[in-house]
Amino acid sequence: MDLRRKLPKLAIAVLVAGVACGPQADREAGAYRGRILPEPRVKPDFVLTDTEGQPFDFRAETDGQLTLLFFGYTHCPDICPVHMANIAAVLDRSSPELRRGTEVVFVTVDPERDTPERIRQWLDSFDPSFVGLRGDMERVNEIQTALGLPPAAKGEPEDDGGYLMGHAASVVAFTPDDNLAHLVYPFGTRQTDWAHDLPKLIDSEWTR
Amino acid sequence: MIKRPIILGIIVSLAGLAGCAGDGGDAGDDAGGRRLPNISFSSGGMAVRDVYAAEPAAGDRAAMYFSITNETGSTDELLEVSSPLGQAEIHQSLEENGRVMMERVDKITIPSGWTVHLEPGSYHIMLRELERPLEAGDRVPATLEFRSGREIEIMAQVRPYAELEELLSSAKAQ
Repeated sequence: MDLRRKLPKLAIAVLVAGVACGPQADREAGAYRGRILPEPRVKPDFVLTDTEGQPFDFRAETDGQLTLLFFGYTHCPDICPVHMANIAAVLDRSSPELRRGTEVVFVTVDPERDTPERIRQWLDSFDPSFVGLRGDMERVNEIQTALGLPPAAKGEPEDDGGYLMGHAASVVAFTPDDNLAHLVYPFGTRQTDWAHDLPKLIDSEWTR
Repeated sequence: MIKRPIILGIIVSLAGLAGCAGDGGDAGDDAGGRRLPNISFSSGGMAVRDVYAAEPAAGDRAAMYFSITNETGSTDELLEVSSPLGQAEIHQSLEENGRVMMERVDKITIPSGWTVHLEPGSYHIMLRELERPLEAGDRVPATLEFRSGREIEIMAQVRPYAELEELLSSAKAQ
């Protein structure tokens, strides 16, 4: 009798679980903590220089990888390091498969001050496996625009000749199965959010 | 000009301060030594708590965060921050059309009865031209000056960026 009362609920639970496991689950609101883009964005086709001075073909090198792309600069004390540190901390606690299957790519919007050595030193403080790229400003802004991100802008000079940059606050996530970006992660994404989403993103199925 | 006497008190559990010196502390500490005692620096009804500086990822500048609670009965403004270790400025990160930009602001207003949290993506104290690189475990002394004439001496704990989220949100939950 108890079971009979529970049956409808059980049926609903099974149904929900069934739906949640299906390929459609990835498109459903609430499945992810990141912001789902109304239209997925194509992985941009660009070659920039990595911190070893070698050309890095973004599409080729990150093909089939869960790819987290972020535009920032190393003199940024408040936004950029928080994003990088949070992703690094979560990957550090993740499975080896997730770590191996995830590529974090940082592109500087401040090539004037961000030398390859400085970018490397900065990224190493979070995770030595993070890729750091540099290219001319115009090219980098084209890439951002193609992704629907606002281009970077240089702020007013400071007393000591330094300056601040305005730049996109979001990390763009490209999923491995289709190499498209379905989600972006705005500033304020917490470690618990990354820990929730990264394992789902790496196994997600968008093609079908 | 009438200058009110300023009672500068550092309300600390002294044991707490000792705990900060490097052994991870004991009060309110979890197994990983992550939570240090809740030290409050205050003057009259103005209290500054949970003072952290982020360990810089690339040397020369650092962000400092804390919470200020105003229970003085009147609105006050934080006007200046100074530190013997470098230049200190009040900054704010603003997001506009998906783009974040930091800018210097000349004050932070703290209405009476309110707590203002300085945190990533919002207000922070930007430390520039640091005398020496900061490392996790270091302490950064600083002085806050308010429009009322009140001054509060604080001491920030330098922590890695990855720990700030947890430290600051537990500070906020208090």
